Amino acid sequence: MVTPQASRENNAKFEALYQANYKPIYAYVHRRALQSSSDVPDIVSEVFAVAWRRIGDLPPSPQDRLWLFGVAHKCLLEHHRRWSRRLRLLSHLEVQPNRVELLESSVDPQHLRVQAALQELRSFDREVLLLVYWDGLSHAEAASVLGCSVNAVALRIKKAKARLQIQLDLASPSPDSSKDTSSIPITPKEQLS
Amino acid sequence: MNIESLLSEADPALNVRIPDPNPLDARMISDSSTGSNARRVRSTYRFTGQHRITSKLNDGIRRPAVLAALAVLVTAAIVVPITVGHSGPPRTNTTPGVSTPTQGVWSLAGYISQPGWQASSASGPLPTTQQFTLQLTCPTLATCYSSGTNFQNHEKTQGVISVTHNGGANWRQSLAPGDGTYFYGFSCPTANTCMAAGDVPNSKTHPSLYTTTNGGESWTSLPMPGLNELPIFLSCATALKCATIGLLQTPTAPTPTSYFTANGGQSWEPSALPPSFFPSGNDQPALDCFPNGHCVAAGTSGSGPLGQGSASMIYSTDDGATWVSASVPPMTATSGLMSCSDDNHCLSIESSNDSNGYQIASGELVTNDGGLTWSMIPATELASLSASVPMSFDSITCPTTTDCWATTHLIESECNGTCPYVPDQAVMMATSDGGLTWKTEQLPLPPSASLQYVSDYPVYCVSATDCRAVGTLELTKSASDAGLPWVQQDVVLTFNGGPVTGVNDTSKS
Repeated sequence: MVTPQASRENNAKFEALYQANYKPIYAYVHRRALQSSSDVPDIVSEVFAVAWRRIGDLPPSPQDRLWLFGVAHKCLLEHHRRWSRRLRLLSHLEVQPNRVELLESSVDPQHLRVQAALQELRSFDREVLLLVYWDGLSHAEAASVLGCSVNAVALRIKKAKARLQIQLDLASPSPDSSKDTSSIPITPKEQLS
Repeated sequence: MNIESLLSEADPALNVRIPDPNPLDARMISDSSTGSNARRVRSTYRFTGQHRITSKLNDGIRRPAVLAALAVLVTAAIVVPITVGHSGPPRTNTTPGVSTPTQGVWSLAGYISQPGWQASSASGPLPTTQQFTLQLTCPTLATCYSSGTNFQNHEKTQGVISVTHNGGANWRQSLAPGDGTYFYGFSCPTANTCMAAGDVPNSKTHPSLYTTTNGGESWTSLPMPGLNELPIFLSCATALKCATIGLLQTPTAPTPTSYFTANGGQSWEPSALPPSFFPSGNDQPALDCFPNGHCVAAGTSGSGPLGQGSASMIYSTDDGATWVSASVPPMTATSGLMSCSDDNHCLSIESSNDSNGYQIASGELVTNDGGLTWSMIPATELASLSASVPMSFDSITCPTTTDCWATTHLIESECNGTCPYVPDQAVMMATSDGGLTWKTEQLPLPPSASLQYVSDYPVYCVSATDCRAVGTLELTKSASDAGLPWVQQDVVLTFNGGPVTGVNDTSKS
C-alpha cells in the first residue's frame, strides 16, 4: 500500500526524472529511429511510462539516465517489430518528406556519409560510438549502459573508429584505401556483444 | 577533420528541434493510475500507424502536438494498474462458439531464428539476430517457407526467407540478399518451388522475382516490371504462371498495378485492374491463383491501403491477364484477409476502423463460385468472441471449404485496466462451418511463466489436421516489472489434429 506521502515523493521523483532526462532520451531515440522519426514521441513516452511503473527500482542520479537508455533500447526493439510488421509497406509508400521538424532545410552530405558509414559497422561498434560521441556519455557511463568494463569500451571505441574510418575511405576511395574492414580483426570477446 | 569531429558533427539529433519536456506530460503519466483513461486511448503503434497512413495518403500534415498528447494518453493506459499473475497461454474473457470445429492440439515446435535457444526467465541477453516473421506458406506437411525481416539494428534490417523441411522443428536461412531488399509477395506452389518478390526501398530500381526450384538450396533473381513499384501480392499457381498486384508510387498517391507472367518471370505483361479496386495493405496475402487460370483478390474501394472504404473483390479466369469486379454486398472495409481452399471457395475477414481508430472485423465475405459473387456473414459471429475487448485480425488460412483458422490479437488498451502490460495478447480462432461460428483455440504453454504470446501469426494450414504458425513470445507485465531481461522471440507452433474423439474418449483439444 503506497501512502499519500510516498505517492507524492514518487510523483516528485518522476517529474524530476522526466524534466532532467526528456531531451537526452528523445535524442537517443531519434538517433536510432531515423527510419520512423515520427514515432519518436511515442517511443519516448513509452520509456517514461516504464520508468513510472518501476519508479521504485530506479537507481539514483546520474545512474538513472543510463537506466533510461537501457529501457529506451528495449522500447526501440519493440517499436521495430511494430514498424516492421505493420508499417513497413506504408512507410515505403511515403510520398511526403520527413515530417520531423528540421532546423535546416538540407543535411550536410558529409554527415549523411558518416551516418551511412556507421550503418555498415557491427551493432556493438556503432552503439559504443553513438553513446560516446552522440549521447555524450563518458567511457564509464557507456560501460554501464553496455554492461561491460571501461577498458572494453575504450578498446572497442578505438577499433570502431578505425573501422569507421575504413568505411569512410571506402565511400570516398583514395589511393591508400584499398583495405577493408576485415583488416581489423574481431576478437572472441567482441563476438560476445 | 579527424574522425571524432566528423562523428560529432554528423549527429542527426543536431538537425531536429527536440521539444522541451512538458511538466503536464509527466503529470499525466504519473496521474494515470486510474482506469478511466484506458477506455479512451488506443495502442500506440497501432494508432500511429493509422494516423500515419492517413497523413501520407491523404493530407500529409504533421500534427506533432496532437500526436504527443495522444502518446501521453496512450502511455497513461499502459501505466494503469492491472491484474497480473497470469502466465499461462493466452486467454480471453470469451465464451466459445456453439460449434466445436477443431479437435487437435497446438504445440510448441521450435524457434525459428535461434535453433537450440531456449526461452526462459534466465535466458540472458537477446539473440544478436532476430527474425520477425511476416508470411508463412507450407506447400507440404514437411516443408514451410517463412518470409520476414532480419533485425540487425534499428536502421539496418533486411528481408530474409527461411525454410524448414521437417515440419517446423528446424529452420535454416535460405535467402537473404543483404542489399536492403524487403520481400513482399511470396508464393510457393510446391515444396521445391518458391517465389518471392523483393524490392529495395527508395532505390529506384526494379523489384526482383526470386525463385528457387530446389527447396531453397539456391535462388535466382529476375527483374520485375516497374521502377517505382511494390509488388505487394504474388501468387504463383505453378512454377511458370504467376500474377502480381502491387502499388505504383506516384508523387500524389499510390496507384494499383497488376502484371502476370506465363514463363516463370522471364517476361511480364501488364493487366488492367477495375478502377474501384485497391489491394489490401497488409502483410498477409490476399491474392490466390490456381492452375486452371482462376485468380481471386481481396481489396477495398478506398483511396489507399487502410483508407476506409468498402470491400472490393476481383477475379480473373485467365491467370490474371484480365480482372473483373465481383458482386459484393456492401461492407465497410479498410483491408481484407483472404484465404481460398480451392478455386471456388474463399473466405475473407474484412476489417475497418472503429471509432477509436482500431482495425476490427467488420464481417466476413464468402464465395462458393470462384469469386464471382460473395455473401456476407455479419461481424457479430466474430465480435461475439471478443466480448468487450476488440480484436484485430492478423492472418487467415482455410485448408478446406469449411475449416479455417484465423489469428488475432486483443487490443489491450481498451481492456479497462485488466489487460497485461505487453502490448498484444495473441488469440487463435477456428471455424469448421465455413466461418458461421468460431471458437478460440488453446495455445501451448509458453516455456516460461515469465513469457506470453503477443502474436500467433502468420498461420498456415496444410490440411484440416495440420497447421503451422509463428508466434512471438515476450515478457509478461509482471516479469517486465520485475526487471527480467528483455525477451522477444519467434517460436513455431504446430497444430496436429486427430479424430473427433481422442484416446479414452477425451477430446484432444
